[in-house]
Amino acid sequence: MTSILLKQWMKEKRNPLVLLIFIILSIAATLMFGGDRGSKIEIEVFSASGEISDSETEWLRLLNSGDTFAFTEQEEKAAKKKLREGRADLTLKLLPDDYRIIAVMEGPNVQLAEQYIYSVYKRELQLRSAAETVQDKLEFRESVQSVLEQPPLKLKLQASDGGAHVPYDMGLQLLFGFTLFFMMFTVGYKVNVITGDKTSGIWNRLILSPLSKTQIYLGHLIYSALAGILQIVVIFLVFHYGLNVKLGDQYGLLLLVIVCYTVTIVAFSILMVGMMRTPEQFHMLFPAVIPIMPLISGVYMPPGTITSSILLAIAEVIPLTHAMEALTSISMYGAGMSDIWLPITKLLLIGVICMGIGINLMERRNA
Amino acid sequence: MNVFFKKDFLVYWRDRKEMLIAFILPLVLVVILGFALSGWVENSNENIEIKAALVMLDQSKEGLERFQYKLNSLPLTADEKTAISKAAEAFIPGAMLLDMLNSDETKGFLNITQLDEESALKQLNEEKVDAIILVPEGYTEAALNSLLLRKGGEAEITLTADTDSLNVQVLQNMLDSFLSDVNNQAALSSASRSYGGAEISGAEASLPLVGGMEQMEGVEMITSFQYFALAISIFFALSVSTTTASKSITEKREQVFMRILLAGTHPLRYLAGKAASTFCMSVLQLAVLLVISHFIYDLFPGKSLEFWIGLSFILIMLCLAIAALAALYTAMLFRMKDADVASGISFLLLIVFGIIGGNLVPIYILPDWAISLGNVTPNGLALSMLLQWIQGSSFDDLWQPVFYQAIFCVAIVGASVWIFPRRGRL
Repeated sequence: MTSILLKQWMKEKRNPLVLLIFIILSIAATLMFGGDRGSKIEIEVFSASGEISDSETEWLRLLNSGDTFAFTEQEEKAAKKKLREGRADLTLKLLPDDYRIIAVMEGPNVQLAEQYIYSVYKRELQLRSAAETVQDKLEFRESVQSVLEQPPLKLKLQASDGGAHVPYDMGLQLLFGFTLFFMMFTVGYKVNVITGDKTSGIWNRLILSPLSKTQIYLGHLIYSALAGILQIVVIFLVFHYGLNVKLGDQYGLLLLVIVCYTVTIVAFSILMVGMMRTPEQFHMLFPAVIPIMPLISGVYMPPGTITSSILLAIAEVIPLTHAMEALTSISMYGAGMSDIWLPITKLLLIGVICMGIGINLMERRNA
Repeated sequence: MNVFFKKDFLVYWRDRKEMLIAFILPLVLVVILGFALSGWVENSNENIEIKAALVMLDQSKEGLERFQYKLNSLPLTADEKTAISKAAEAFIPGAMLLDMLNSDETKGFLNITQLDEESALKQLNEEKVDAIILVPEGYTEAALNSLLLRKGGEAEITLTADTDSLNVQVLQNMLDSFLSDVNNQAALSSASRSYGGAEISGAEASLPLVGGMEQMEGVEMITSFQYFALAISIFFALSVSTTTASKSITEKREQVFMRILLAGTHPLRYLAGKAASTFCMSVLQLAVLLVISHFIYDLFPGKSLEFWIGLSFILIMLCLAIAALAALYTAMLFRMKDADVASGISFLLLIVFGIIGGNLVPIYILPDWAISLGNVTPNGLALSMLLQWIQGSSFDDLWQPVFYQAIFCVAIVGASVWIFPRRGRL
């Protein structure tokens, strides 16, 4: 086993470029796509009259007081162009004390924005119409504002044990999602060395050597897993120390999930390698299969968005689903071992099945 | 070139099982997304079903009576007292909450059961309900005191939930907006009382008729299904370039290319064969995918012949760019010592292009700079052109991206010819 590890390492040392490019690019991509946390959704605004008037500037100020959306002024033509190209979900047209939402595509953000914008307009217009009937409008406004600053009725959120209710951190979910997603490519790429060895004849020589099959497979498995684990750990360290993202305080458990997930992905890659004969075929299938996984696992959407039972059933057999569940519950809800044993067991089960079928396929091809 | 074109198609044919996967996989994906999207983006409120338990410990009638009784003992003028007492009758928050939760509008997706505290908690722990809404004892009195007299602390409704799922968030948003409406009404009515304005009663405040959706003139809405079907088809067509390139690895390994050179053929003919076969393959793949999904799902209902011609033109431009990319990857492969490095790079480029072009992830989760960068990739450009074309843009709006796509092709072809080893350089 150690000789396989050593062989892999020597190959890497002689030609470190590929793995380095892979790991660095994956880390960069995770940082770029997952690191954009908590930023507001930008909505471009233009005025129907052509130029933003004073009263429209006031509306913009009111709209921008929320914390989900950021409204920015834009030329009508540019805003519409961006919309038509599919690079923006919606744009807002300001009319005198009125507005229109312009969208060309249905999407979750359009509904959200519509609700928000309407509530802002409703509040302000009600305030204005009430203010019409009084003498001192400014003081009236201030008095209303002072009440609303300390609202008399409130909603209190709590967990069932009386503790604080933890708001869901979508940014953290995306971060985990992208980290796990990109790691699959590194691991797949490393496992694919086996098909490379097969086509170049190294595999046959390995079989003839005194090494047992178990040792050969274990060597490859451990090496690929180490590469994957290294990548995730580096990303988490960068996020924790570099960008000050809170990942919870149970690093041991996080590491456990990462290791289980990586081993499962190695097993999955072995299954793919078992199905393919040459590294080229693997290159064709692997990048086509992987990007589907986060879509079905619901990595890009808030939890509970996918309701189709067919999709949920498919998601159960995807390792990413369970790893995401374990990681988010550890770092958001402080889950302990008793809470995450189920997803971990499912992960390992998928791993064992993939590995079993994969090695079987591979051995059959050899015979 | 003909010979090489035929050779490359035979190479594809040899791996027909894999090619079949490449054809079937995107179809499966489109089918799956057809399922997923119907419950996700389109009509997103219809599929939501929230189960909540309501624990009502407050007696609103007694609360109101107690409030009115205590009001009488306050040092206020009789007029003020009647005004406040009248306002109080219109502002019973517990009753308003019940009305809101039981209204026809919310009944469609909200399932409320009244329970006592203990069994509600039990149901929450068994995950039979998503959340518990608890209205505490004496809520009406506290709320009225706080709303109308600004006395006492704030009155709180408690929402108990263990997860922060979409259902809980929807419920929370509902309650939040309900409470802030009541707050707002109370603030308005108390302010207008003290500044001598007209009486505003809580329940019947007029809702301003503003807002609404507007469509751009001559622009048709795109369904999210159209978007994803196109995005996926484009991505799989793009991946043909990587496939072609990785098939050349075998030809490099097995010295096929050397033998071709020894036969006295110009090396560029080999490259041209690669590009031509990639072009045909990606056209074939796009055609099959779009035609099948059009017949299964009625992807583009009621479009004119002109639309289909334009669509084909944009897709053919895309396939030319894909062919150029395949030539570039192949050239890189022969130029680099280690073919794995070259194929690794093409593999990564495929993923990066796919992500920033909006083919692999929903575009709204990407940062702004990545979205604008996506327009520089051939797949992102083709996607945005197609979106505009579906909306009914005229060709005048599109000549610019078409021109850019053409420049991209020429530049990539130029680069690959330059990189590709000529005679004597191998």
